Amino acid sequence: MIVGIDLGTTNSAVGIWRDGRSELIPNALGDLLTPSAVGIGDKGEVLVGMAARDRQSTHPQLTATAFKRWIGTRETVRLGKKSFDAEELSALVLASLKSDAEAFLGEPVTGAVITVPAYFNDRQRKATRRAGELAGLTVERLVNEPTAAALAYGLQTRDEHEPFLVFDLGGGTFDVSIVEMFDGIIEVRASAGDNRLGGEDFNEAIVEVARPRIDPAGKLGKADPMVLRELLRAAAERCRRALSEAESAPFSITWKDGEYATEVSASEFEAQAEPLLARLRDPVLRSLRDSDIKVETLSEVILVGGATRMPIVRRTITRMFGRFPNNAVHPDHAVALGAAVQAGLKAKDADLDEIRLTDVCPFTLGVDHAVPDGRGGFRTGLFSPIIERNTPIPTSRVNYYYTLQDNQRQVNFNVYQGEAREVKSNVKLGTLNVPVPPKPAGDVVIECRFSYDTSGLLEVDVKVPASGLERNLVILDEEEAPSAEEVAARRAVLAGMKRHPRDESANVAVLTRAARCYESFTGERRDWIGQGLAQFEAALATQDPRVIEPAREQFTQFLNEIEGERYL
Amino acid sequence: MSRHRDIWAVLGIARTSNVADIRGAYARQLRSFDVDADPQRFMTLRDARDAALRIARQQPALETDALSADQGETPTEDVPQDAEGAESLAFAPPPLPDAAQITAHLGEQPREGTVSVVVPPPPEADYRRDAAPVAAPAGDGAATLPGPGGGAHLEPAILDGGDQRGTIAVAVPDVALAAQMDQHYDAVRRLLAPHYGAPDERYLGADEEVLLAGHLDALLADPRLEQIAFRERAGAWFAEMAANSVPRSDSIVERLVATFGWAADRGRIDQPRDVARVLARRDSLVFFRLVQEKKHPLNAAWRELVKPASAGSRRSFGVNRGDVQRLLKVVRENFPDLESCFDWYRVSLWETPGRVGRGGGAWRPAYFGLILLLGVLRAAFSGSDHSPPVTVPTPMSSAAITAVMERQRKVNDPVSDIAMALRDATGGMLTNDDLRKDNPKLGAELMTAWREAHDRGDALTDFLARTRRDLIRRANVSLRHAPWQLAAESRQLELDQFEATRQQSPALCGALMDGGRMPPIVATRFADRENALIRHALLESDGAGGAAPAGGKFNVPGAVMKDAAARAALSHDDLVAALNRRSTPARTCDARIALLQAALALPPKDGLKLLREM
Repeated sequence: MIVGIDLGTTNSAVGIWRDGRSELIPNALGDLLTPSAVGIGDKGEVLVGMAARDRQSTHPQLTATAFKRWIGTRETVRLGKKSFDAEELSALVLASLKSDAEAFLGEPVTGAVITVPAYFNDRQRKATRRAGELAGLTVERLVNEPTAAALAYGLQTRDEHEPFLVFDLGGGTFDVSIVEMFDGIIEVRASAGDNRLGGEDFNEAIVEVARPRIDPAGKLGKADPMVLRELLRAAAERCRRALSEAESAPFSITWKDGEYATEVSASEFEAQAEPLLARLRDPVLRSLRDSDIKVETLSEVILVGGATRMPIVRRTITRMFGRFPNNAVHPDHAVALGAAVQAGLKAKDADLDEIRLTDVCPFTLGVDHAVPDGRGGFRTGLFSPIIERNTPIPTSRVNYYYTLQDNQRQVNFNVYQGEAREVKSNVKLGTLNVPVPPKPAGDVVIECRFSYDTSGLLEVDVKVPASGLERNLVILDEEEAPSAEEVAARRAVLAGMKRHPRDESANVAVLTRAARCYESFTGERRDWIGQGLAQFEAALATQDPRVIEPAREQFTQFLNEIEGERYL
Repeated sequence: MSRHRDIWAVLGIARTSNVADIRGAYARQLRSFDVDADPQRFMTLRDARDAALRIARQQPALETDALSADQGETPTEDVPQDAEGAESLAFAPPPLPDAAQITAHLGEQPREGTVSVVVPPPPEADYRRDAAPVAAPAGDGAATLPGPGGGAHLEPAILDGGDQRGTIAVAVPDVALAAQMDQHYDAVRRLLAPHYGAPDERYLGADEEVLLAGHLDALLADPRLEQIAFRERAGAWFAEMAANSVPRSDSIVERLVATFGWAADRGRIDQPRDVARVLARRDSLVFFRLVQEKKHPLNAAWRELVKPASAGSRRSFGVNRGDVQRLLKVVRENFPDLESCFDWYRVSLWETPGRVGRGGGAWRPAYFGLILLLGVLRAAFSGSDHSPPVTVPTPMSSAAITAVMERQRKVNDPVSDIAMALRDATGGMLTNDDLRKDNPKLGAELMTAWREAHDRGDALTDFLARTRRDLIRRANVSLRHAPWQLAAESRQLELDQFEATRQQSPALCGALMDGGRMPPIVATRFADRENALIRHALLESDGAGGAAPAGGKFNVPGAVMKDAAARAALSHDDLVAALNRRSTPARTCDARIALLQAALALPPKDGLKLLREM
């Protein structure tokens, strides 16, 4: 069984294609979205999802969120006694989704289609693939997030669609894709994005507005910085969501029995977020330019990603395009639904017979070369593109290079990915050295061919016609890829970590939520929460499901009333 | 090229220009195999489809073979590929299309239920270099308000676009606002480039700067800037304006960079040339300001290098040599504008001489000794040290100055002189090696011309100018005798240029036919193609003479006239009048475009004569 997984910065989801449609699979708590959060519980057990997220403000040193931002790097975080890198944390989330899917479908899940931001570079993609393998899934395909959303949208009505633009502003990344659909063929024309722009950045904007105001006396300076940061971030998230509906919203944190609060107005937020909104323009412009499509010919602007619910973002989009954006797809679910469609395509489901998807390569790929500088010397370290960005994949392009010096013995091809003119600002993917016959400078021609396939694998073929030599390099990994045994070992370690049994997760989630609420409220309400908590724990002690379930329902209702609906 | 035949074979359909058919064929083919298993087949298919769509866009409303058979015309056989390969384009005979079909295809019919968003662009940068100011085209009066639809009036109500598919909110094009903004744009242009064409190297006066700032304030407050399409066009307009009017635009450069966020694109390979230029200028200005502050680490080196030669002929004391080297490196690599601030004599004092492969080593110590002696003498008698005020000079980099000085010399080296001439004529696309390989006869003729110039003792500039004119003339002659492929390419380029100019302003386009110049935005867009064409023509040229047809007149077959008249939606007589320039510039423009399209739509045998002579 192949599922489609949206591995998001803030939330993740898993979906399946069956009976001619795609649907999302609920987790153990009955939610369709699972927060991308991992934490270590009091007894050293692993918590994933809502339970972990709720613990973040109470135990920030034992919880990790938004780790998608450092996937592909070697950064690690220490939770309790163990260090995790972003791959392992993602693997834990994926494993939790896998077990949710297996429980729902009643059969084992072996393969998955996982989504990545269109603008993820090669390293980030390989790391995501490894995370899937660590979770025990065969990663059938990586699909770009806006493409997945386009799939979901396109399949709602299998009409012809003039080029439309997918505007995906998620928790941590921003992607734009221009997609065309005709005759069941879904064709991506261009993609662009910003890997460092998302809802989290807007949270920080609110913090910047509120922080100076809530603590004129400077008492919060004594707080643990990590704890404080978490408290501020959580409060900012609430405030931002509330601002979607009201003209002003409260921003308050509770620390050591003191409440620090203020009001933030929508206009202040808009003013503070102005530079972020300005950054939304650039990828849109670039994708329009690259696909050579005019704004007027776009048929729709599709909004994807929770952050597009913000009125300031909607206003900016409306002004940018001169039209209202389209709400046809559910912004939180579209990507996972699209991933499920791709999973169905991979499984060659009969309902998807006439559907085909072609994507593009979002980054320019090339090598570094030197150019004469007009003073008799050479300017080295300049980028020579071989595959331009937004070329349809699979693709194969060739370029010719010459030797720089007389009797040169060897030519180095360093493979880079990026758009900067100087290679030092681009991402290096690999190196290939080729010996050349000694000849005067410029007499030896070397042919360099890049082949890039749909799974993002780059092959470099270098040929020297003068000597008949051919060399080939498949860009697997800049560092050595972990061997199969290493992967198996790491997977065993992760699988061996203590977890709650599945049916207990709902209880655990409620407990952690209650603990968080207890910390964030003061006075009377805190007492009530304490009492409710005691009652619920008593019910748990009976170990009788017939007692536990209604008690949990009641307690959840109570918590909802106290702190408002739990948001996802 | 046999690729063209294969396009239709790969797609599996007969040649057509119906976009839906091409896409349908592509879809059918794509579904028939697994892309991952056979990537090569996908690439071929995709290339074929893209090429087919390109061809289809150039030849609107061609019927398929079936329909032409109905009309009783014998379909041409697929022309067999001959040695040249140019005739391998299989043309179905183009029956004269229905006028209604033409307008339906060419006209922009809005889709049902939608209202198109109309956004008039700012006036194009109307100045032309090296040309006398062209009299404002009469009649249209559209010189200051071009753009699609010219600000059609629409209901000033915002449609609720929320749930209904296909309705779009209307950005109300406020005609009054557009007119007002256009006046500001005009004012900015007049301030920055007051003389049509000739780059003005004087700086702005203080009051002019205030005016400029005021106009810029108004322009940047334009609400239309929030729309992305308008913003893009405005950004391009400002970039071109500012880049071409350095140093007059110095005062607004910083603000433009900040508003349009050009700094974020720094170093990207797709950064437009004008934007890069403006950004470089702004960086130079910032550095210029910073380096003059006492606390800047390179301040001493700067003051040393800008000291004029007359103020002392020795290196100053207390200036670190490493600093000077670093300053030179930084300025040469990052701020080439500022290099002309330096006094060349000072720089030569500090710079390590490169290895020169000539002899004369024995003279150097004596020369040096002489300089030293003179220096000592001068120092003994020198007066006070004064540094004149330094302003950031005009944007002639040292490379440009060297180039200018270079050209004032006489011709002295055939290889480099001819190479320079070729570079001038073809924008760098043609080199001596190309000539040697492909057209040695032309190379020999250039060599003869050079020898004559050398014997006469001509200055290099004269030689370059004369050679350039000669090369262009040869290229034109060559095009007049070119095979179909080349002639079509040249006319296609002309067509694209006309259409792009018409998009900027129909009046300008009409003026183009009278020998005016294209707006720079258009010219740069097609510069590469034009240079490639000249290169191609020169390589094919056999130096044959051949006068231009007298009076620039040529004959057009009746069928083609009819076709062109239909395309331009004009009557036959109107078309003739327009082609003979006896009509409004806009009509003249449309007529020429229509004629070009009609000529290009003909099969090679019939069209060749017309394409050559047009």
